[in-house]
Amino acid sequence: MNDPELLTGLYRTYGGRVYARCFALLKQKEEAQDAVHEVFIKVSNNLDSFRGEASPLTWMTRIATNHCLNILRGKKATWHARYRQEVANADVDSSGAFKLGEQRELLRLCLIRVVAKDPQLAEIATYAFVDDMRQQDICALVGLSAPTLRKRLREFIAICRDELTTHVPGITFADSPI
Amino acid sequence: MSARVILPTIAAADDVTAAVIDNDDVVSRFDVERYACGELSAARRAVVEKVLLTDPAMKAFFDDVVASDAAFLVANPASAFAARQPARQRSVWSRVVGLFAGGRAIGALTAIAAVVVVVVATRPAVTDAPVLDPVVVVDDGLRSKGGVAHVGFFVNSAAGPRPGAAGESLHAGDQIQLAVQDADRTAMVVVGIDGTGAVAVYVSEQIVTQNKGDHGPRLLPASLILDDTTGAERFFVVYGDDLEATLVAASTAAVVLGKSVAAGRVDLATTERLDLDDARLVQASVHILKVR
Repeated sequence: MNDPELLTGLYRTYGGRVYARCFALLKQKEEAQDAVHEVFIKVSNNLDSFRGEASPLTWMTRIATNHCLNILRGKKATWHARYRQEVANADVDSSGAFKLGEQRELLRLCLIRVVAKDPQLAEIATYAFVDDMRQQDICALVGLSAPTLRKRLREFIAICRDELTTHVPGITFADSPI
Repeated sequence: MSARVILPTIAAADDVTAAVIDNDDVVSRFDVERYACGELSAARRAVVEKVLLTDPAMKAFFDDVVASDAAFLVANPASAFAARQPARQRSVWSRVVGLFAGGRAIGALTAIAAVVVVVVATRPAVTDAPVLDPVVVVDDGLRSKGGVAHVGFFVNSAAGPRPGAAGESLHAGDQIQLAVQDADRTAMVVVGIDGTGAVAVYVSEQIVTQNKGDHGPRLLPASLILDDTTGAERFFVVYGDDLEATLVAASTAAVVLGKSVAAGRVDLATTERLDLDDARLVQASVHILKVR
């Protein structure tokens, strides 16, 4: 359905957040702006389902996340170089370590690797590690039980570990409960 | 030395219950984003606000969300977005321009000039109206003279223009024209915020020499036709010495205030000032009440 006033109101309130999501994943300003436009076309086409949503931001974040992850799926990358560069650029603490969750670009590279094989895993990992959503909110959003969600997030972390081990020689790991 | 990566570990279901992991007193960044968008329940808002008062990192994140959203709307104005949508109902206002910023400013200013010329050429101007007593025009409690910014308005009608009163009730289709008394600055921006929180920039101009320092009131050329939204609507005039910086400051502050209006946290009938960071900027405002 088409409701320009409602759509403009959503844009005014949530456009910045949608852009922030798109930019966090795509890292290109123009590409992110194009993605915002595409996302709002999808929002416009699904306004009927929107009317039942308690959280428009959550709903639009999901649309934007899946849209951007789809874009990332189609991209090629030279993984060795990009991983090494991000590891080299990471802000380390006094012990020389850094937290994966705080290295957005590294996290994004891992997401790109995951999304090609397991789009749902990339989606929930985005909510958990990029958005910092609460687990109960992710469960409600994607329809998983809490134990399943935690199992899936552990799978993602394991993939990150494998990716970095493969592409960054000598890298070591420590664990930090979240 | 090789890099060492600290990976997050996810507690097993047997170790920690979901209630512990997702304690309702715990606020995530996404909660803060939802708070900034005004969509949390009152109870949840209170939890978030408590965290914002005590957690500098979360407060910084919140500030960043508000600032970046405002910057987005300045660079990608809702008016431009709306213009791309199929029209269901025309004219929220007869908006002169939308928001703009940065490199787009010059082009947008050109657009403003063009629009203003069109408005003046097609609508009987009230510039020659004899009633321009600043005490009458500027009726928002700001009546001092001599370089102090003021803004008021006239209501255009078949009988001719008449001075409007701050807080005056007006209807859809009514036509008003803003009048300002310039501060001793070289640039002026007029922004409006309506009862839904929508922001529009109506005027952005370099003040010509004869007006600068000439502190009598003057009518702005473009008149505005009220739409059918209701509630308080306020017009802010902001003066500075750099047009682009003044425009960005005023429009950004207006977008932030507009969001608060949309979230029901602010009443435009009583909020007379934009939260401008630059103390050198001078401002004044006037409001109307749009009724059915």
